[in-house]
Amino acid sequence: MLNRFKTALYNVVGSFDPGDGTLGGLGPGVTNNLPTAAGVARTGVSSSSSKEKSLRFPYTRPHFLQLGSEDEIQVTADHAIRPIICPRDISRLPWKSGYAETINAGKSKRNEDQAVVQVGLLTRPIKIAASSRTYTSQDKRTFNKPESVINGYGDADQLQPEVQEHTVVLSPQGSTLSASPATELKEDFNHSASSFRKERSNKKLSRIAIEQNTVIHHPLEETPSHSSKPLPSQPSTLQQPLVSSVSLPYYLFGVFDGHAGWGAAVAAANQLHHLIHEKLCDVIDILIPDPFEDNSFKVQSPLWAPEKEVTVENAVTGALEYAFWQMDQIIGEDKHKFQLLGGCTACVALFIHGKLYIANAGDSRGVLSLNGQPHPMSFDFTPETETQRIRKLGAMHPGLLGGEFTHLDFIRRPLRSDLGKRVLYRDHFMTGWAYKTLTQDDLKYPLVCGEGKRSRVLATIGVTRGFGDHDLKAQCSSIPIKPFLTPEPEVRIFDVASADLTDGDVLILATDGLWDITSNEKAVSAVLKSLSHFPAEDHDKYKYRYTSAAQDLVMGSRGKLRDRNWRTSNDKHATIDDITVFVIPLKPYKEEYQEWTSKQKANGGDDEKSSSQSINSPNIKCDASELEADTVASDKNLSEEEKRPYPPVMLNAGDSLNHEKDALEIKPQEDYFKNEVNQEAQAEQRLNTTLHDT
Amino acid sequence: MSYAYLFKYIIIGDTGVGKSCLLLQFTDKRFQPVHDLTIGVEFGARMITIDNKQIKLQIWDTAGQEAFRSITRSYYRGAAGALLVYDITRRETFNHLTQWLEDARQHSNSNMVIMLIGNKSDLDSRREVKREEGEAFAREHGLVFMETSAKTAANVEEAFINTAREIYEKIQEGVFDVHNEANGIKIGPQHSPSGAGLTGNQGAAGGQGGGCC
Repeated sequence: MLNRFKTALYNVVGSFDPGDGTLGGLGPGVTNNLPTAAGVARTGVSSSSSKEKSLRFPYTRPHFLQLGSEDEIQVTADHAIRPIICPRDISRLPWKSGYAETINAGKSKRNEDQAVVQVGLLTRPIKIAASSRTYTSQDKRTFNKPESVINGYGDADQLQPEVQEHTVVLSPQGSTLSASPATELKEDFNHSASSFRKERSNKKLSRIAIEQNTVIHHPLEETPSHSSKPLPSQPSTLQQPLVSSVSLPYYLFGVFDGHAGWGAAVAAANQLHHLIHEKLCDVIDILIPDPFEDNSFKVQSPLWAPEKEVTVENAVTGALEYAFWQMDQIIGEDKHKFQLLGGCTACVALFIHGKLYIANAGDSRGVLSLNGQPHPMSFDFTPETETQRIRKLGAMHPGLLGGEFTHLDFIRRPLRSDLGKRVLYRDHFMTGWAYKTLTQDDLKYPLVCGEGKRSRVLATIGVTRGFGDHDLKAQCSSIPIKPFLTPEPEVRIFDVASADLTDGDVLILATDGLWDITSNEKAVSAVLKSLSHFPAEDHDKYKYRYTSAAQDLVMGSRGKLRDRNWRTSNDKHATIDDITVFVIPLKPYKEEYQEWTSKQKANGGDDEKSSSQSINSPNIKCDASELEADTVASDKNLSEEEKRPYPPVMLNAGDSLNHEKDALEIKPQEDYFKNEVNQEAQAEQRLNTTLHDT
Repeated sequence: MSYAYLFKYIIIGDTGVGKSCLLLQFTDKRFQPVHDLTIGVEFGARMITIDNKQIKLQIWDTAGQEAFRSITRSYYRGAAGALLVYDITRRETFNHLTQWLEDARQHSNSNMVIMLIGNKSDLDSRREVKREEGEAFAREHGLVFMETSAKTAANVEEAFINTAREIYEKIQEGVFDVHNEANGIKIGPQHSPSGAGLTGNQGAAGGQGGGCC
């Protein structure tokens, strides 16, 4: 009913224009967003201080949409029509993945959802002459930092990021000798990219450099090649061993659902992928171990302090978690200096090393469609699903409640007349109910209230994880909300490389605008239906299939406008929220990864281009035989897969360079979806899904 | 730049009749012989002058493919003008006009001005639909008719501008309620926001008061 009213109102009023001063405090030229949005009730945001600050990032739509002008962005923001926007050039997304978005029905002037796509390459030099004794301080390790950014968020006309290069050379003592950005860096995207490197990451990279006594060098290249490149010759007086390099490509897709302004979502879409890249670089020696590294040099950990084993999965998960945390910190810092309103949720899909990692903080969702069945790859974090975490925090730190809220949960809101009576309640350590005699204190407003989509923390915010909201206060009070929110993602892993996949198997990554209306099951069947219109066998039409599926999903949740209400095809309420959807095919990545592993194997961790320079290396000699063995291996692998009924199994990818081997030695495991965080969350998720569907 | 009115157009018709090419010719004055399938919706904009008034045309180009039909239907609403396009070298695209017209009438506002366009007039040797047939169809259904070539640009300007002129006249006659945006007409901003002293990024982000084009 409320929805109905809202839609009607939006349609009567048309699109809001808060730029006309109705929102006092926002001067001309500053943002035109409304301080009200999904999940945040009015009056929650203080925008008074943002008057004089400049914008951290200009408002934009995802770069791969190629919306060249503000004019075009405006067309997409037609609240009455709610056009479904997809990329003009489908080939800009990896594997012709589908993307579609639509704006809300008028609740905020701008579309507060954002998205990012990045193809990256992690490169690590491998020393061929492992036996030569030039290790320790002369050890050279290079981090390539090429970022082919599909979504660069750069200047509209700057489709390819500029070639940038800057080098940090460290003396053996670890002091920085030079830091030279080769090119002057442009505003916005480049500014952001460089600001990391210059201000933030350099500090940290220097630290790593000090620890490892290495030379760090990251040039930004125009395009990633899946083959590795020979090292550029380094000006150095140090003795240089024969080196080659191994490059590991990765693919990143992300959706960000903004609220109370678009600032945080745009900031995240501009920066998070850079942070993730940086963190992946940090752990490159785990992702791509040097096959020739002589382990005898490693200091054996003493018996009384055994070292924990770290797998590739641990390292990637850690990189994602670290990047999420830092993203939130950066937004928090920037909020002091710039105008950067609101907060956002984040859900990132990272394809790396044969696996898919979904890091989710918020209520966006990643769902795999495998063999026509939905497999949730994320958990919806809402006040309702996180009620215990939040109430526990309130109980431990009562100061956060400002004396106005109670961490206790009552079966119904207690009334003054209930004082002294026994009422059913639960404390922060309970999931079930018990009796308590009602006291005056219990009449305070509950810390978490409401159900489902309408659940709220401190009666204000409807999301509990994500970035931003540092300045958000509980409505009609000065109680800060941020302490109850966290940027921590839950990371789930799916082993793409060992899964039995068809062209119909996809990942659906979407903001809650989609999922509020469309259940996982319905989404999967809608995708299959769309794909059937553009069969994989039809060469001409193939490239449209995932885009078409993404559009149909958006259409299904947006519905049509009937009598001033947005209604779905079966005449139920459609969403009035922004909707953003990716439909990403899984099989192309698997094939690409298989190619990559066999190449690595064939080259013995080397590359064709550089193999000539290391012809004397004993490791290259066995090339031919290994290649042969490899073909056999992959053939075997294939037939094994064909025979193997779904579900595939999870691998322990401890040794990244032996994937072929790993693939053959499949260890049967029951759960092929690894939930890195909590099992109970999964159970809750199941409950949640069923609730959703009903 | 400031404008007096903004008109929303929609271009409809079978796949491959040259809808996107017409738009490209009108907005960019160029012809692209090989064009990707339009998926969903594309858009373009151009300023024209009628009666000494600046009028901004915002044109929505839809996918002709059947698979996208349910999506493109939602764009009829909120359009002041429609270009219904067929290909004079393909009879079936002409045969489907009735269907398109029904669709348009059903989903659009009743005052929408519809212009019937027989495209690819440069390919006269391969003509399958006579000019007279197009004229007859237009007369029968109360449409304006024109044959165009997106390749040679013949009549392309005229097609868009004549449609605008007709809409403009309807406004003068008071047929259109210009204050209801659902009619596909918007009154331009009273004053251009350019004087606000904005620069660089701030301007790009803040200049959405409506005046930019």
